[in-house]
Parts: sequence; C-alpha cells; structure tokens
Amino acid sequence: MSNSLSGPSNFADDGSAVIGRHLDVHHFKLASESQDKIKSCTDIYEIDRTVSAIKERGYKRIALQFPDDLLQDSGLVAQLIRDQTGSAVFILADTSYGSCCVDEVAAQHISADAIIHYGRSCQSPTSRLPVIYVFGKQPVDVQDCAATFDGFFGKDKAQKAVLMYDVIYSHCIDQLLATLQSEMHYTNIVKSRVETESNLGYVLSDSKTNGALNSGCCQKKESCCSTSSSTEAATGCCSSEAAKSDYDQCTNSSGCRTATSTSSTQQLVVEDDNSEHTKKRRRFGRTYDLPVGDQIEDYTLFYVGDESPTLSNIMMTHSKCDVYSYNPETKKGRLESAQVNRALMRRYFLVQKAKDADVIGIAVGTLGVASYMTMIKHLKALIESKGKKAYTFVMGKLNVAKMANFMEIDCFVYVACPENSLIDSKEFYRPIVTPFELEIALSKSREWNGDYVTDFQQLLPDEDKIGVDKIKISQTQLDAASDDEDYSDKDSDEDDRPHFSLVTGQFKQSKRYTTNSEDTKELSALIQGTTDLTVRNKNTSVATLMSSAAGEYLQSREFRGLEVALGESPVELATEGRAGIARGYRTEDGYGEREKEKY
Amino acid sequence: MVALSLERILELMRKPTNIRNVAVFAQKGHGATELMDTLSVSEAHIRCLREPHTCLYPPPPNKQKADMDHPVTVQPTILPLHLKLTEEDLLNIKQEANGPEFLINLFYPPRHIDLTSGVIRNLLATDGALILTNCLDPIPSSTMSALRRVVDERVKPVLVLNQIDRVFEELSLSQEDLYQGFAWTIQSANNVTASCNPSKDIFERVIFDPVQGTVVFASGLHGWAFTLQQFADRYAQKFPVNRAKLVKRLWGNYHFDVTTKSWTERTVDADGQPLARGFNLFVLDPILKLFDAILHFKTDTYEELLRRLEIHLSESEKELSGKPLLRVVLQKFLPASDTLLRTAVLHLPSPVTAQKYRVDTLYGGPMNDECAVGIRNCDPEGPLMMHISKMIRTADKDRFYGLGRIFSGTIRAGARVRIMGPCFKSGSSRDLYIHHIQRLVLLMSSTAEPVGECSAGNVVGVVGIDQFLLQSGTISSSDCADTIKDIHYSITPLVQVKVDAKDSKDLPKLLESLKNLSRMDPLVTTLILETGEHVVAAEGERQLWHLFQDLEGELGEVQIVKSDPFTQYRETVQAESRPALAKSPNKHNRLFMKAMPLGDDVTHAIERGDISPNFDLKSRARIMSDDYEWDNQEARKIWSFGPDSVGPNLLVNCTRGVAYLNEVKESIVAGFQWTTREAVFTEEPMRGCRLNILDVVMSSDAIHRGGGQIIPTARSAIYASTMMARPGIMEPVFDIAISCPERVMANVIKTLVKHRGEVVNEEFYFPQRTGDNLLMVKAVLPVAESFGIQSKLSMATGDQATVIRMAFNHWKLMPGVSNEDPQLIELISSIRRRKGFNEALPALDRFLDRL
Repeated sequence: MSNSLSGPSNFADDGSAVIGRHLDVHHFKLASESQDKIKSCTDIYEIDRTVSAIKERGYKRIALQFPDDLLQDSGLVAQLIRDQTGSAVFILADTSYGSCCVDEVAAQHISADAIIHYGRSCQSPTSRLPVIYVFGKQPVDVQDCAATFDGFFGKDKAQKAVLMYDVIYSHCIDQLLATLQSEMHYTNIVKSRVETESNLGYVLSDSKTNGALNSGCCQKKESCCSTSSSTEAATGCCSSEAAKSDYDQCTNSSGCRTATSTSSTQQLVVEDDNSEHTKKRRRFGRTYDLPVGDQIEDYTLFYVGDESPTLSNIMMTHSKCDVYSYNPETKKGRLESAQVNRALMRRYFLVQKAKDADVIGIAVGTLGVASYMTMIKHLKALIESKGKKAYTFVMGKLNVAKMANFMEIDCFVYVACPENSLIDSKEFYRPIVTPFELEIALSKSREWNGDYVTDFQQLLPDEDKIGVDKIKISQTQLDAASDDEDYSDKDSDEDDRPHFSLVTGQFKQSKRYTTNSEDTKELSALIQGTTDLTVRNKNTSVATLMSSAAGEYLQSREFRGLEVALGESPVELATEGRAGIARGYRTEDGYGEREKEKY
Repeated sequence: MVALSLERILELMRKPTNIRNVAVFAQKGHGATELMDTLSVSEAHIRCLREPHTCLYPPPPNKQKADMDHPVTVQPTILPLHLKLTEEDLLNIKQEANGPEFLINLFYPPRHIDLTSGVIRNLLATDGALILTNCLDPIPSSTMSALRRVVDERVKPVLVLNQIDRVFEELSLSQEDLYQGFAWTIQSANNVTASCNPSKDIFERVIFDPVQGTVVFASGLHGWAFTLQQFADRYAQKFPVNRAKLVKRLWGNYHFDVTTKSWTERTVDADGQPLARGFNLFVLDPILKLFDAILHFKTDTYEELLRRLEIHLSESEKELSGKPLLRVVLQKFLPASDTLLRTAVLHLPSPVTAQKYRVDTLYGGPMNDECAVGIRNCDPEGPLMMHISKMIRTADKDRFYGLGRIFSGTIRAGARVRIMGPCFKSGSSRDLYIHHIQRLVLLMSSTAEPVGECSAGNVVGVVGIDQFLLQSGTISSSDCADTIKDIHYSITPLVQVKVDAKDSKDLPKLLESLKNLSRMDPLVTTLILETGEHVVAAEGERQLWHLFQDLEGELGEVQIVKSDPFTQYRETVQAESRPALAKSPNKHNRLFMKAMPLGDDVTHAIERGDISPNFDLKSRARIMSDDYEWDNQEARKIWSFGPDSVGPNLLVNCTRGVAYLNEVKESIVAGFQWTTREAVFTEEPMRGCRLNILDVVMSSDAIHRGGGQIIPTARSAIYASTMMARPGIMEPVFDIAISCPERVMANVIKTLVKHRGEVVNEEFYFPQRTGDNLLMVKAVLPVAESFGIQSKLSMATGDQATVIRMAFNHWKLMPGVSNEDPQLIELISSIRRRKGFNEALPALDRFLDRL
C-alpha cells in the first residue's frame, strides 16, 4: 500500500507512506552491513537455490525484480547469478505497479525466460512466465515465538490455530511448528504454506476445474518453453524447498512440466484424494488444509511478522477469526482483531459510496495477476448492466494527483493484486474500491455480511476463472443480462427506482447511461445518415452526445477548452511552438543551464 | 358518528368551497389528544358506510403504555368531520360556499410539537390551524414557534384556549382574574403573530379576537367549547338585543350596570359599587353557576338552571350527579364539536379561498404557467398538482401511503404522472420519475377507503410512490410543472447516535428500518460515517429517544447497539490570516489564499437564505453592498458558497489579471467545497469563513494544471490559511426552558451553570395560581452538555424540574484558538478519535509551502 501512495501528495494524513517505505530495508540490514557481503548475500538471497533452479531448467534470460528498497543489493545479486549460471541477467528497475507483484510485462520486454522476484510478495498467481520467489531469510527466535504462542493459547492445548507468516519468515515455520507440536503438545495446529515458485501452478479450491486449469496453463507453458529453446526445461523442477508435501510437489511440478496428460491426471487423482479428508483454502498464495468438518471460523490465526499489507489482508479476509500476531523484530505478540473491524467498516462506507456512483472508473493496477483481463471485462459488464458508465484507466501506480484529474468519475475500482488493492482513499478525491466491494455495491446477489474477499479470483464466476478465452462467455452473459432487461418490464422498472443512499440519507436516483444495442443502433444510424442533411441546433453544433458521461460533464463545466472564435481573431502564420519536456521547456529561462548540468 | 356512503363522501369532496383542511397544534399536555378523542366520538365524525378495508394502526406490540392508549397519535392522520349549517349561519360565511354541508378534514396533531418537522408536514396540506393552548398558562415557546410557522406559511390560525374546565374546578380565581388571564394569553398570542412577516399584504394580519370569533374557549377533555358568538346568539334569542352589538360588549372593558340596565366602560356604577364586566356576567357567570350547583349537589338550583338554559336530559342522564352530570350538561349546553367546526367553517379558509393567496409561496415555478393558474383557482379540471407531505405506514408495514394535498386537477388511480423528488430542478430529469398511480385511498381516522379519483382541495393517500419519494415530493400531470416548494428547514440534525446491529447478519434489516425512520420524519437523517458506522441524527435527544422506540419496535428481535449521543461542531476563523501559499504536487502551480471571518451578519443571512447562491449575481452583489457593507466589486467575484454549494462560507476571487484562471476555477471550487465540508482539525464543516484567492501562478502547460494538481493545492491553501487565522470551534447551543417551583430554582441554575449553561431569564407562570409558584427558567445550553440534562435536573431538584423545551438556538464560538487552547485541543482530539483519525492535530507546515 505504501508504494501506491508514494506519489506526490502534500497532505498525506500521517506520513505512513514514508514510514512504510523504510520498513523493508530494515529487514535486510544484514546485507548492507555485513563484512562478508557476498556470503550473506548468498545466504539471504538464496543464490544457491536460485542457481540450481535456473540450471535445472536452463533458463537463458533471467529477469531479477527487486523492490525499490533492495535495489542497492541488486548489482551484487545479479553478478553472483550471472557468474554461477552464465545466463543473461537483467535487473528490472521501477516496477509498473506494486513491487509485490511480479512484473511480467517488464520481463517480457527483454524476452526473459523466468523472473526471480525478491522481497515481499503478494503471491498473486501469474499467467505468463515462471517465477522464482526469493523472500530473503530473516531470523526468528523460534523459542520466544513459541513461548508467545503458548502465552496466548496456553490454557487449551487443543486450540485450533492456523499458523500464518510473512514470507520472509517462511524458512523457520516448520521449526516453529515442530516446537509447538512436540515440545508444547499442541494438537490442532495447521500450517499455511507459501509457494516459492510459480508458473500458473496455483491451486484452485474447486478441484473439478483443475483439469481445465492445468491444460490451460500447460498450453501457456508450452509457448513459454518454446521461447526458452531448451528441452530440458520440460523436466521436473521441484526444488527442495518447495517439496514440502506431496501436494505442493504436484502442483508445482505439474505447472512446469510439459503438457503430458499423465501429469495432469496424476494431479487430479491427488487432488481428489486430498479433498476427501481435508478442505483446502488458498488465499493470496497461502494454502492451508483444514480437517474435514472444520470451518475456518473455528480457528484462531497466529501470524508471524510485523504490521504489513499482508497482515491486514489476512485480517480482512478472515474477519471472523481472532488474529494474534508475533513480531520477530520486537519479539512482541498481540491480538490484532480489534482494529480489523474498523478497517472493515471503513470499507463498508466505501461500498456505500460506490453504490451512489454513476460513473465508475476501472483503474488497472496490474498486468501480471492472472485473469485480470477477465476481471475487467466482468466489471465492465456488471457496471453497464446497471446502466452506469464505465471508463477504463491504465495509469500505473495510483497517486492523488493523477486520480483527481478525472473529476467526472464518481468512484474508482482498482483491479490489482490483493495487497495493493486496499487503498485507503481518504486522500483521494474519489473513493477507490476493490472489485469485491463494487460487486457488493452493484449486484443484488451479494450482500455485505462481514466476509471480505480481496483476491478477485474468488469473485469471478467459476467458468471465468482460468482467464483464457473466457471473455466471450462473459460477453454472452452480458447479452443475456441485457436481453433480460429488455424483455422483462418489471426488471427495468426495478432499476429505475431510486435507492436509499446512506451517504446522503436521501433517495438517490441513478443516471442511466445506455451503452447497449439501442444506442449503437442509433449511432450507426447516425453514421449512415451523415450524408443526409442535418438540422443545426442553436449552438451551430451538429455533435450528438451519445450517453457519454464525460461529455455530459464537459457540458456542465464552465471552462470547456479554448473558445472557438471563428472569424473574430485574425489569421496568423504558423510559428514554431515549444519543445522539450514539461518541467522546463527549451524556451523557458534557465533551460540552457539545466542542460549543461545534465552533461 | 355519522355514517355516510362513499358516494356521499365523494360528493362532499367535489365541492372545494365547502372543504376545510385544518391542522391542530398543541404542546403536549395541553389537551389536544382529548379534544381529538372528543371529536372522534362526536356526531360529526364521518364514518364510511362500507366495511373498512385496512386497519392502519394496530397498536404496535411493544409501545409504551401511554402510547397504547392513544395509538392514533403515534402516527397522526386525518379525522374527517361533517357539519351542516343552517341557512342563517350560511349568511355569515364571508367566503364562497356551495350548499350547507361541509367537510372538515382535521389533521391529528403531531406527536411532539417541539419537533418542528411534525408541524411543518401538516402545514403544506392545510389552510387553517387550531392552535391549542392552556387558557391561563403562558403560551409555551413550542406552540409559539408553531404559530409563527403557521402564519409564515399563510395558514390561518384560530386560537383555542383549552382546559378551561380545570380553571373552574381546581383554581379558586375570581371571575375578573380569569378574564385578565384569558386576555393576557390572547394578547401574548397576538404578539407572536404581530412579529410575523406583516409584509405579505395579500394575507391579512392574524389577530385573535374573541369578538371576531377567532378565539374559542374549550374543554377538550369534557367535550364542550364556546365562542362569544354562541352566547350572544342565545341572548339574542331570548332578549331583544342586537346580536352583533352584544358580541362586542362581551369582551373588553364593557361593564353592565344591572340597575340601569345599560353598558358602561366604567368599572364602578354611580354609587361606587363595582360593576361586573360583560364577559364575566354573561359568559362566565352562567357556567360557573352550573359548576357550583352541580358539583355541590344543589339539585334544585341546577334543575332550575337547566330548565332556563333549555337543556333536556334523558332519563338515564338524570340519574347522574356531580362531575359526570356536569359533563353531560355542558356537552349539551356547549357542544365542542359544533363550536369548533362552526368556527372552522366560518373563520378558516376553504382551499378555493386559501390557494388564491398561497399560490406564490406554494409553487416553485412561474406564476403564469398552467400549474400556477390551476393552483390559484383550485381547479379540478386543471393540470394535476399534488404535494405529498407525509408517508404513512400501511398496516402490513411493508408499504407507505404518500399522504398529500391536491392543489389542482384531479388525480386518478392508474394515471401516468410525473413524480418529482426534492432534488428536481425544472428542465432536468434529475429526481423525476414517470410512473402510474397504483391506487388512491381516503384516509379516514384509522381506516383507508380505496377511491378511484380525487379532486383539487382534498387530501388523499397515494399508493405506489413510496419507492420514488423518501419523504415528500410533488406529483403532476403537466410536463412543464415545477415543484410545490417544500418548507425549508433551518434546523440541522445536531444530535447523533451511532447504531449498529449486534449481529452483522441483521445489517440489511437495520438498514431497511433506518430508511423507514427517515421516511417518517424529514428532520431525521440516517447516514453512514466515513468510519462505516451508521448514524441516526435528529433535532434533539428527546426526538432520538422516540426514534429509537420506533426503531426497536420495528426491528423486533434484532438487537442493536447504540452509542452515547454526540453532536456536530463547526470550524471557523476568528481573524484575518496572512497570505498562505500552497504549491501543487508537481510544484508548477502556486495558490495564494487568505482566510478571514465572514461576519455574523452575512453568515446568518446565508443560512436564512437572504443571500443565496441562486440569486442573480448583480442583485446579490447589490444586496451585499447595500445591507452588509461588502464592496460591490468583490461581491460580484464570489466564486462559490460551500459546503454543498449553499453553505455559509464564501470563496472570493481577489486576483487581478491572472491568465487561464477560468480553467482552474472549477478545480479550486472543488477543493473549496471539499475543505468546507471537511475542515482541517475535526473534519466537521466550516462556518462563517471567507476565503480570498489572492494570486494564482499557473503552469503554462494545460496538462500540468488539471484537477489533480489544483484540487489538492486549493485544499492545502485553504487549510493553511484557516490555520493562520486564529481557527476556532463553534458548538451548537440549545435554547432550553425548564419549569420548576421557585424554591428549587437555585439548584436548577446551579446545574445549568455547571454544564456551561447561561440563564437568560426566569419568569413566573401565571402568578396568581395558588400553591407553589411555578417558575419558567429560560437558558441557553451547549448541545454537548444537554445530554441527560433532564435526569441531572431531576437529581438536583428531587424530580421537581422539568425540561419543557429544547431547541437549537445558535452556533456559539468556543473560547480559544483551536490548535492552542488545551481544552479545544482535547475536544478536537476526542472528535478525531471518534472519527477514527490520528488523534494528533495536523501541523501547519503540512499545508503551508514556502516560496
């Protein structure tokens, strides 16, 4: 979240953006301070594991993605990897979106075979390239952590708890689990897992769609592999780290293997096997298996790590569970749940605001998270089916100034990875909601009941989930929806009615922007009719506004651009205009000096 | 109770000249409920012959007992009454009439007169009003303000001095004392009406005069009432006197000399013996004699009296004695329904009469369009114009009937009409719905009779519009129709309470109930805070208390959690700031601004609507320069009012020769609106601030001066300048009236002072009253301190003091500068904590940039 707010803002509420940015560096202090830099680098950045994975699969072009605060070590890491593998190594500078997301687009610019992602990761499933996650290892005092855990749950050794953790502490979770189970005799502890590698091998909770999923991703994989021009890449890639369980092994490997039918059937079998006695949950890259018959509501969450978007994400999505956290830095544990309600209620307020919005901007905040395109299409269909207007924005990282340029938008919906999409939009001119919140606001089938979904994968209808070639389906759905509207008078009647807006305490009438067939018919009629004579209206304009929200807004503005004063101002010869960039055009004073400074 | 067939009722309804729509207002405890009950069991009450279809108000299961007894007052509606006048009486009607039969629609009094909303909602539908007050007590301020509103809305009032029986029974006052007491009450009512806008010349000044018949003496409880005319009539029948002359002698300084049988203005006769006042001798004396004789069981005396008064009792009634007998006798002697209805018919205007002079305050559009003409003529053939002023809940609790008055045309079930909500602006489609009327119902006390159509001048319930209108709106058949003007509420809902469902699963139910709450009362707002908490806001704690009763009754099983009440604040400035500079995020634009107080006069003028953003620029500038000492040029450069484009803060463009300024105007205004809505310290609205734009330096490149750059800059500049202008906090202050016996007055005042209250004055109730001398302590009390004041007062005085009225009075500047005074800082922090912000106050350097 901090990254998304790092844009210029002169009235940040509490400066948390700045503080947030420095937190990560803190963790990696070893890297910068240690005498033996290479050694610690190798250790922290898991050079060995990375190198062996690369070698195993023969990746030739590797993209390294560092968060901004780790860029200082990037040179060394790149050098180490290059030296040990001989592959071409690229460091991706400035990520397009949040640094927790894998920036596949940037990697594709250099035709990379694989991405190695460093630092904190949101574990969003990706669709294009194989990814190796290197979280960096941070020390945890396992005994102290276990003691803290015991302090919370000491009364009941059968306490049902799920262990969650910040990815940077993933390396010692097994140890912690063992300590808790063997030394402290806790019986009902479930460990969540994170994936250290991904190429579309994400697991869906619904095992039935898995077959389709795998075939889908394997096709992709094929194309991936062909570019990598290595046949070896097709052979198994289970790293020792990843092979924590059969289950993990299978999911990971099947993703990387070539599309042999055996592997996918094998996985299917395992899946079915698993689903018989466990209930899998996957949320933002974390998987945990609950014994059959147990609900997550029965469990308490124990999170290892300090305050971070990950933690707030976990709390939001598990709002019915108590969440305890242990901060390995300060070695302190606390109950976190108290503030989560506040955050949730704040989101609830945003939902109410979104309900009142007539014009909704879809801000694209990721090009990496799988099926984001489907999501956008889905949102568009949803918005339009409600007679509202949708505009799509691709604007990289959000900042206040950028967003406030679009005053005609009543509300933005931000399609991004789970950790980035929760934007506290207090500073923004318009509220920014998540796709889930927009669904609640617009669709009658969903209601706010305290459950929260940040991962938009869970929002899409099942058949849309895979994200390939499913756009057509959503289009037909849209058509079906609009057909419904046309034929059932009652339904459209329903939509005509104002709704009770909680923001104003009054009825709010929705504007209707028709974007469907009728309008297009009209438009095409207009285009065909352009040869005919058109009656000019008073303002001597022949333009027609086609239910365009922006056009309507322009009409209501006082200033509408330069005034056309045809015949009133004398005709002048064209002269050369300004050149250069906005922070100082060449015609402006001091340009020359700045240029000199540059060189 | 008179049973009429629906056809007969409809026939009555088709004669607008013979309709009277009358509202009733009274302070609680002044006998309005009893009066309505009396009328509803009287002969005049119209009952429809058909079986009632829907019972509107079954008593809700968990209402308080007091409410159970009179379930109708919970949700007031209409009491239809019927009166047939004699030929002779018809001649006395000074307005058009059509036949001797009259239909009087009496609106049940609002549940709480001290809640302005209830008063207002009845006013738009009615043309006349009965103002009930205790005959000797000073008129309560709530009744006074109701009366003021009545006159302001050009509704004609009649004063009813009620509870007159108690005076005779309980107080041993002399006749002259009674006369003085009555005269004093009438005079104070006249003082109120005299202070109301006399400039509207079409509507004659309201004077309550017993001689004219605009004052009624009544005992609602016992069901009798009289006017001077009635007595004059009786005497005129028996004695050879001129009725009109006699009436004049029955009030004022006319004394009757029994020996000379002549009238004189002197108080003593030739021998120096005191003379009896006409009123005392001819009006009070007969009644007092009856009281005396019957209550003291002087059978011979009262039988003689009854014979002389020609009151005939039935056999069973003759068996009675004491109070029951007195009641029967007086009901026969001076029947309340007859007196009141006669007064209403004679002295209150019919829709035809009233709409002629009401049209220009009622209608929002031009006075010469077809709708205005239709309203003016109360024309059943004109375009339909109807105003829905109230939502009335149906028995099954699912739907609401929109209760409204038809001003013009005829409404028919099934017709397609334009439904215009409160936000409708002529020419736009905002808040406009075209829909058909599902059904129409006549609301007759507690029943609803379906009807097919209803014409101008009547009040009718409309089914099927509750989905479009929350509280009020206009229904019309004309395409060019503007709205019937809703009455402007000057009161903001100041007292707020957070509510939440105990179980989040019940949230949808809670929301539905909240919506219904705001339907039932226009001054109740239910909204959601930025923190996601639901808030119910109302005028005062008492209203909230009633609201929560409704809410809990509605929710049934659903448990809710509510917070302590809290109030709103306003941020303001107390001095002129130095110029504040803010740079845009990209540093290419600079905005220099200055904040200064707007001045109380202008602030009030904006709040009253004397200066409005809707005025024409030049005439507004004229008003401001003439009346408020503004520079005419500056007044023309007012860019915006805020918040919400109407509030009491001004953005003034004081720049000279800045290029492209019009390009960024909207962005600056947007920033201004935002900041005035959420001021810097508490994010409460701003009030009474003037913000001058001194200079704007802009990027020469249009792309770098978009909204994204300018809006935050404007915000920072406003924040910075207000922070440098000795920022202050304003808190709302209630006007509070407390009644208490004299001996506990010191405790009352002590309690008030302890809660930062200031006593304005204390005055005696009618001092002649025996026993404890009751005092009325008037004070101003900060709203924040008013929570639970009643219980605190009770504690301090041993349950002797009662809060009679609490209403918003003004915004009071709290002493000190917001970010310096420790008490204010503490207050601000607490507000910030409540809103879920960082408790520390923002520092100036976050907003202020340096060159």
